Amino acid sequence: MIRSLFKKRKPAQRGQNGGLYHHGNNHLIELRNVVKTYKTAAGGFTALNNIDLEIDRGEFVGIIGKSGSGKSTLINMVAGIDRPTSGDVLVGDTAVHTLSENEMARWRGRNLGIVFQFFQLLPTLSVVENIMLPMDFCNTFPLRERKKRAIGLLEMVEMASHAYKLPSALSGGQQQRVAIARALANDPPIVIADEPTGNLDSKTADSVFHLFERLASEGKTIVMVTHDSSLAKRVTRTVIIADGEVVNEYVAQALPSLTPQQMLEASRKAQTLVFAPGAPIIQQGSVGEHFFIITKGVAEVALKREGGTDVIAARMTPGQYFGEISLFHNRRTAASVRADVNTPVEVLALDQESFHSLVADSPLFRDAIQNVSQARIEHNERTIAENELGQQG
Amino acid sequence: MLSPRWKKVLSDLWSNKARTLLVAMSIAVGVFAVGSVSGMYFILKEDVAADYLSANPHSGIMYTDQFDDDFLVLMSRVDGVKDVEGRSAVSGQINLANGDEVTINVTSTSGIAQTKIDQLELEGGSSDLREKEIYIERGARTALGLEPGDIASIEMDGGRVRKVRVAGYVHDVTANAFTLARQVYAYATPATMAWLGGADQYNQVLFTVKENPLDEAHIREVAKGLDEVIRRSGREVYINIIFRPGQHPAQSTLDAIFAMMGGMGVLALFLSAFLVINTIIALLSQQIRNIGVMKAIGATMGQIASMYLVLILAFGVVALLLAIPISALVSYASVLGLGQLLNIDMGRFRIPNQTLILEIIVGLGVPLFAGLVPVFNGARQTVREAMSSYGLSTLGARSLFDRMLENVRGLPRPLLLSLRNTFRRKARLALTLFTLMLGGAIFIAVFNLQASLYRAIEVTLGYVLSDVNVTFQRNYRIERVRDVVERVPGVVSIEGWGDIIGQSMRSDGKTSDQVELVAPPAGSQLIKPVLTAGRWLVPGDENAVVVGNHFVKMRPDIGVGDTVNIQIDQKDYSFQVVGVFEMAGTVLMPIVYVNNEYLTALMNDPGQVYTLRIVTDRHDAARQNEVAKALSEQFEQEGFKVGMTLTGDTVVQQNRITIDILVYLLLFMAVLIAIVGGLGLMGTMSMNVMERTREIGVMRSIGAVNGAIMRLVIVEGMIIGLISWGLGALLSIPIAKGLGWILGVALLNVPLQYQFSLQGLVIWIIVVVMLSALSCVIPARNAVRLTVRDVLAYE
Repeated sequence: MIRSLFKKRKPAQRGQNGGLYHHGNNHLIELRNVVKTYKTAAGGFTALNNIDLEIDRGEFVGIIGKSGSGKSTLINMVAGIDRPTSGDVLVGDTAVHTLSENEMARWRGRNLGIVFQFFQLLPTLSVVENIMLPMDFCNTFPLRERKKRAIGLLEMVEMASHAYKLPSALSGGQQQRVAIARALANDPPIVIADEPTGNLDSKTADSVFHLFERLASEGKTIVMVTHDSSLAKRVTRTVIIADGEVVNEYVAQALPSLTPQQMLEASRKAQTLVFAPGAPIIQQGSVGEHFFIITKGVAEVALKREGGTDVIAARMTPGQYFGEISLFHNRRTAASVRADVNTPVEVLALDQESFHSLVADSPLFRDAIQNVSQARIEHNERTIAENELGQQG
Repeated sequence: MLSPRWKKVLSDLWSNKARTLLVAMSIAVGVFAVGSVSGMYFILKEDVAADYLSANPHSGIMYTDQFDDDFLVLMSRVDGVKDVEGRSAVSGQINLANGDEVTINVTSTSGIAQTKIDQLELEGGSSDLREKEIYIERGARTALGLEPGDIASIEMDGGRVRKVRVAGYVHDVTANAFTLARQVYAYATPATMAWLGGADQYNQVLFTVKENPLDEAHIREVAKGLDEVIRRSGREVYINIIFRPGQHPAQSTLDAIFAMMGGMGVLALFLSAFLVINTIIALLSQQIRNIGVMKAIGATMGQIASMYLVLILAFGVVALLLAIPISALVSYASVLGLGQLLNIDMGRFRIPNQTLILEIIVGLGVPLFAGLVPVFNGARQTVREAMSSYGLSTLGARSLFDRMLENVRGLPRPLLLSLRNTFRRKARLALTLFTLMLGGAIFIAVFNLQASLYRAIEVTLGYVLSDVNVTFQRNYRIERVRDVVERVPGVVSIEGWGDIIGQSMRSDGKTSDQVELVAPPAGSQLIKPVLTAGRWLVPGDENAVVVGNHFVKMRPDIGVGDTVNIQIDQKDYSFQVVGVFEMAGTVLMPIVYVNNEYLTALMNDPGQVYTLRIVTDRHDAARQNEVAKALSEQFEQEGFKVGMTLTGDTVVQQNRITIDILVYLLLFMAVLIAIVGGLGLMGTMSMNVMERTREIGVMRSIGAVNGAIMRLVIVEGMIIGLISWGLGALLSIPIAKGLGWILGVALLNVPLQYQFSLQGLVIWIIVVVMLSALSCVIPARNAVRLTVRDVLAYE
């Protein structure tokens, strides 16, 4: 029944709590206030701290972060490999955290495909048997079809000619292709991959990654942990994890030159402000006090003309920032910024002390801000000049 | 087609043949131990009884004055009597092929076809027994080296030599085995008996009963009727032997063997069960990552548990296939060997059903039972736990012991590492240690038991300290005997002992049991009794007796200070019990010691002697034989009637042979246990090393050469071996005491006294250290063969 709800062709049922799914969740994967603490000999260790995350059907999400940041723990939560200490993990209609170990195994087998960094093919089974094994455990396809399906999947990953070999006879890249085929054995809507290219050379990694891209294009939801920054750029959405927390993705988008820890620090210090449609955020000529990152809605940058009327210099969307010129160059604000007249705007506001601390700590960030502010000043000047010329003309 | 999960089970079995064989062997050793022990037990139990009963054995034998066939007819009419037959016997000496002289007992027979009781079975030679011919019991055939048709020389008492023709060999199931008794049994017609110097009439009555042939009380009732008829005829009944009716003469030896095998079988089973638990836990810890992967792709706990339980069953099946035929062959070969040793014909080769059932229980049931907890624990692990259990092992909470180990200073660092590694997985270590400790303890206990058995012989021989014993056919004056003996060279001292059969009256005052009154001279130097209560006889003791454990077993109401009434020659005498002695072994009738001076005075035979106990100048067998022969000749010349001459060495040999059989069996068990323990250590050490493949890779990556790693692992194995040795030595004490109790009571009627033996300790320390080292070399060599990259990718 659960499986049928994941089928693309079926329209999603609205859940009893008003959400799209049974538990009131509107997203295919939803983590709510997830905390995971481990007990070690040295005391408690918090691997995940109050994680909120939503992933929609068909997304190809890359989870990145440093070693030990909590990315594997995060996908383990989604895959039901580990349980949260507190919080909810909802996948489709299933509250994964409430399942028993056995229910979890059954659910995982039918709804998730898992790809590991070290392939984890069973060494005593041939390639085709490794792929048939999940069907066997979950009894998902008629006995006679299983082998045909396994061969079909091997053809898809271009490994059909190796079907009867033992995993030990294959290269790392080939084993990972087989592992991907195994992950798809029960036709799960979600594929979870934990650094699937981490143990492969760059060429092989590229071809394996291409397979994931293909799966995403075919409608599978893919959640992949990766270290490889070049591959991370090819996913449709990036989730950065640092010290067990998810970095605000707009902060990450706006300030890519910061390290994940700095992004997290900035997210923590920032204040969320919401402005009604048309409400002013910055007044031109005032003393700048904050650095803003848009998280929702559209903001307009307006420049005053000599006649007192405004000219719209730019429209900014989530993931963009403003307010840096006044703080960075220590001068009055060069333009007004206000919420779009039609929608409210939500921003993260960082005070000047935090902003200057970031500039001091990160030369890359300072250079980026310098370049952007310089470009914006020039753009503003050009816009005014062009506008006045137009009026004179 | 086999589904992938069952294919995995099959592949797990097949792909790692060494491991499969190791696990199967661990189980097989247990199956083998139980199978061979129980196989022997059931076959012996059935076949010994069948062979013995096939001869229509006597229910009882009565020794009386001479009688003829007419009197036999009279006795056959006694109530409850089924058959009666008369026998007479005469004994002499015969030389074995190796030159040794042994006693030959010739019994009268009317012929093979005519004998109804204690039937003989012809095994070569003529079925017609003529005058001056004898049949010989087949047990002595090899030792005598005589073939049918050959002439045998028998030296009768007094030195007369009679040459008789060997008519053939017969199987007499009621005769003691030559190997045990060191006596030759022969059969001759009444006419030949007379020619040999015996009687042409009978002086023994053999009888069987119509009903309840195994009921000793019933047989005694019937014997009472016969006793009355004999006495009414004016004849005396000297001895009435009703001893374990329906049971083979070697039954007590067999009982001891069964008891010991049973005890060892239980220990072997226990050991095997631990070995299996240990092996299965180790096996599952190797499979834990596979379990994680399978759970990650959708396997439930039940599916995983069933896979591994089937895997365990498969190991069990392999073990059964290995062990059943081998144990059947070994048990049958042992049965045949024992049969030959005890002169018993065994049936055809077979595996008794009970044995097969036991083997299946041990081969399938024990591993399955042993595997239940580890399998369910393994299957219950979460994917995360399972997937993270490899790699560099994490250390849990540190105990005081760990901290102590960390504080050990001054040892070389690799040795320290071995030491700490040894105690890292404490549960595994405990299981390995327990298995090895138990194996070692049993091994050491076997040697202690052997020492206890030899000590028991020594103690028993304390009752017969003389070099030569001469039993006369009647009493002689001691002065006269001394006069003759002192002329024989080699005699150092002599003692004249009395020996009378009496009837000990039961508490009801009507019924009685036969007892043997043995009368050493007061202050005898030729007896060293073991007293369990009271005191020994002292000069001047008059109506004092010392009774033995056999007497107390028959009359549990009697203790020191009590009075016993003994009838001798139809007269009642009262004796006061002053002490209780303990004598290992089985006796025909309980022995009661009394002062010779008092007994001979009581019988109006003062200064008379019936048995003579002689001490020679040298105590070796040759000297004893020499003096015995000289004595025999001297007595013959002087006209003494000698009944039997027995050397001390013959007594030792008779006692020792049974013990030696048991000791060899015990050693066989010890080797079996050593194999079980060794396999256990090999298995667990191999798996310990395999688990640490990654760690070995890390060590190699930081510069550890192959030799260093090998040393590390081997030292670890040796530490385990040494600890198990120490613990095993301690555990061997209660095991040896327990087995000593079982074996002693079964064989000797008294528990064996614990004896420490250094031999077992020394052999086991060598075995265990070598095994420990050896069992680590192979896996360590395999581990160091892998490249660092391979090893680290093992995760």
